[in-house]
Amino acid sequence: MSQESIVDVRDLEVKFYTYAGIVEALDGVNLSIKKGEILGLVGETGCGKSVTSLSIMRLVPPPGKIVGGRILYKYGSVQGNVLEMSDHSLRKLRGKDVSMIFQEPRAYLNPVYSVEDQIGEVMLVHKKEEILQNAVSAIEKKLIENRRIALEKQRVRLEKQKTRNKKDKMKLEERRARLEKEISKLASKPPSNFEVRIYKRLIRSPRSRIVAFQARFSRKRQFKKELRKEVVRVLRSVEIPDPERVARMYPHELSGGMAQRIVISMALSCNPTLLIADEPTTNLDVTVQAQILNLIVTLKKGLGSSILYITHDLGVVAQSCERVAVMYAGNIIETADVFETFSNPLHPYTRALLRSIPRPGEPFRSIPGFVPSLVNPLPGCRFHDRCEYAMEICRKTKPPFFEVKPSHYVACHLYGGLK
Amino acid sequence: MTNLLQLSNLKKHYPILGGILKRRVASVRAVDGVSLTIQRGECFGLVGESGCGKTTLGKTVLRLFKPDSGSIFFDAPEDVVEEIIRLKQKDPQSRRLRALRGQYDIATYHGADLQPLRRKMQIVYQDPTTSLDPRMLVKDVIAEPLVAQGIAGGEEAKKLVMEILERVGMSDRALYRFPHEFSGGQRQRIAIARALVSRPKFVILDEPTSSVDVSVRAQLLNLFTDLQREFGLTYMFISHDLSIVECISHRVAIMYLGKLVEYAVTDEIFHNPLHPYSQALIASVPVPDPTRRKRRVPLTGEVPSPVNPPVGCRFHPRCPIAMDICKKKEPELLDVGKEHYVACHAINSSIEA
Repeated sequence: MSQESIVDVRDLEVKFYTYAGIVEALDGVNLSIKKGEILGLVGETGCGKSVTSLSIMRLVPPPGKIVGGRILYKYGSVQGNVLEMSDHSLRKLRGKDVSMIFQEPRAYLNPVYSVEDQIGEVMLVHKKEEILQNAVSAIEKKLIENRRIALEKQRVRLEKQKTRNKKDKMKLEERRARLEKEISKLASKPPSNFEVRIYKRLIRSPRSRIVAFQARFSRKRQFKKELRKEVVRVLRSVEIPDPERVARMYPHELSGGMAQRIVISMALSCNPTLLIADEPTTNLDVTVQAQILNLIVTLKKGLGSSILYITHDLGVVAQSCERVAVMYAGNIIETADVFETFSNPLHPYTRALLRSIPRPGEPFRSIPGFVPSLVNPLPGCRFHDRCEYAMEICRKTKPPFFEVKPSHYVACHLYGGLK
Repeated sequence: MTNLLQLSNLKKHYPILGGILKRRVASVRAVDGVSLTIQRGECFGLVGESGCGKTTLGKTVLRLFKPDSGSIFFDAPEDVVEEIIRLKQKDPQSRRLRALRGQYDIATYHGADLQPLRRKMQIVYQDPTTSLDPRMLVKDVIAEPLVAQGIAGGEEAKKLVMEILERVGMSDRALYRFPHEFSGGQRQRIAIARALVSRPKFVILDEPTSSVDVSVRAQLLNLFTDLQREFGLTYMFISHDLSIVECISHRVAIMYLGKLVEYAVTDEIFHNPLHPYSQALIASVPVPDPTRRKRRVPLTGEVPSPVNPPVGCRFHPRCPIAMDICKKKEPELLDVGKEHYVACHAINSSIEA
C-alpha cells in the first residue's frame, strides 16, 4: 500500500447555527485518506461522521458552516483546498473525482426518472465529450462502411463495361482512377452527415448557445444509443442481472439491494479517486450486505480508488477496512491500522466501543452515560465525563492528536503528547 | 419446561385485489405453514431476511391479524392441545373438535374473546418514534393498557406507571413529558414500560434494538434479560441481527419465505447449522475481528417474491446443493436429534439412509 495521501483534512471546524444555540459539530478534525485504501470512519449517531464526509465535498447544509481548517486534494483533475475553490471547480470535483453513496438508496434515487435516465445524467455532466466522441466514431464507421459498399459496386459495374471508341475508353479510365482514389481516401477523410456535424460542433464548443440551438434539430439517435450502452456497461460492472431490462425500470421496482447497486454504479460511473460511502449497508439484510461489501472491495481493486467507509458496525469495519478512524462528539480520537485497532485500542472510548460488541456467553456491556450535547460541549476532553481514567487535566485541556506509535494516532492525555 | 405457546401449521396470506370488482387475484404468502412451540420462560429468537414474514408471524400470534388457517394455543393444557391436533387429522368435522378449538385455539377467537388475551401478550415495536403517540403524555401512553383493560384508573394507574417506569430505568420526571423529548433509547424504554405495565406473560420484541446505537443497544439488551428474570417473561425476539440473537436467545428459528427452515437450541444453530440457508446466513454476518476475514460471498441473488414462491423447496433456486427432488417436493421440518429441526431434503435423506 502506498503511503501517499489523496485528501488531507486539517483542523476542520464545522458549526451549526441553530435557534437552540451554536452546535459545534466538528471540533478540529484531522484525517488523511491514503491512495487506494479503505478507511473506516466509526462512531455513534450524532458524532459528526456524516458532517465530516459532507465537508470533504463542501456540501454541509445550512445552518451549518465550515468555520476553519483546510481540506486539501492532492490528486485528480482538481487540486487544492476545497474551501477556497470556485463553484466551477467544485462542480468538476463532485461526482467525478469524489462521489458518494448514501444510506437510504431509495430516498436518494428520484422516483419519477428511470434508472437509465439517472445514471445517464451523471455521465452527461462529466463524460459528455467521451460519449459524443464514441457516437461520432460509431456513425463514421457505419458511413464509411456504407460508402465503401457503394463504391465497390460501382467499381464492379465499371469493370464490366465495354468500350467501343477511344474517347469513351479515356473517360472510363478517368472514372476508374477517380474511384480508386476515393476508396483509398475513405479512411482518412470519412464522410459525414448532419448528426456527425452536430456532435462535432458540440465537442468543439460545448458551451456555445448557437450549437445548442442547432443540436435541438437533431434527434441525436446515436448519442442516445451510446449513452445507453455506457449505462448498461456500468450496470453490468456492479453485477446486476439483465442490465438492459433494469435500465428501463423505475426505483420503486427495485429491491433494497438492487437500488444500492444502482447508486453504487452511479457513484462509480466516472471512476472517482475517492468514494465516500455513508453507511451503505445499514438497512440491508446480512446476505445482501455481504454481497455489497464484496462488490465495493472488488470494484475498488479494479479502479484503484480510495474509499471512506462510514459505519457504526464494527463487524463491517473489521471485514473490509484497512485503517480505522474513531470519532466521538466531533473529534477524531484514534486512527490506526485495522489490526492494531482491534488488538490494541488505546483510547478509552475505542476500548469501550469494542467491549460493547455482543459476544455469546458474556453479559452485554454498554458505555455508561450519554453522548454529550454539542451545543455546550464539555471543556477539555469531550469524553471525560464517561471515561474511567479521567484525570484533572482532562477536564481542562483538550488533548492533542498525536502519533503514539508509527501510524497510530490518538487524542488522549493518558499517553502524554503535551509538550 | 412446559409449553407456553404452540403454533400448528399457521398460515397468513395477504390478498392482492385486482380487476374491476376488486376480487382476490393472488395472495402474498407471508406466513405459510409455521409450526413451533415456545416454552415458558425462554427467549425464542426468530431470524430471517426482510420480507420473510417474521413480523407477520409475530402479529398473527398476537391475533393482531386473523390467520387464514392453522391453530395458535396460548397457555393451553397440553393434553387438550394433543387431542385437538389428533382430531384435526382424524376427524376434522367433529363437534368435539369445534368445541375444543373454540375454547382453546385463539386462532378462532373473535372480537371480545380477544380482550383478556391482550393483557397476557404484548409487543414492543421496532421504531419507538412511530409506535408512541406524539400527542400523549408519557404517563397516558403507559397507562393506556391499564385503562383499556379496566385494571386500574386514576391514582392507582399512576402508581403502577411510576413503578414500571422506575423498573425500566427512567425517573418519574418523565411522566409529564411527550415522547419527542426523549432520545431513541429512552423512547424504547417507554415502549417497553407500556408493554409490561399490564404484567403480560408473553412479549414479542420486534427488532427492538435496530434503531439505536451500539452502546445503547447493550443497555436495552441488559434490560430485557433483567426484566425477563424478574417478571418471569417469555420472549419472542424477532431480529435480523444474528449477533444479538445469538447472545440473548435460548432457542432460535430461521425463517425463509414464510416457512421455518431450521430451529434448534442457540448453540446448535450457530455452531452446527444444517440447512444451507442457515449456513449462508450465519456465514454472512460480519465478524468483528480483522484477523478472521471472509472474502467469499455466501449467497447470491435475492429472496424471491412470496406471491409466487418457487415450487418444491423454496430455497432451491439459490441453494448450492439443490437436487432434483428439491424442485418438486417441499421438504418437511423433521427432527434430526437433540430437538434440532431441519427442513431440507439433503439432510433428511442422509438421516433416513
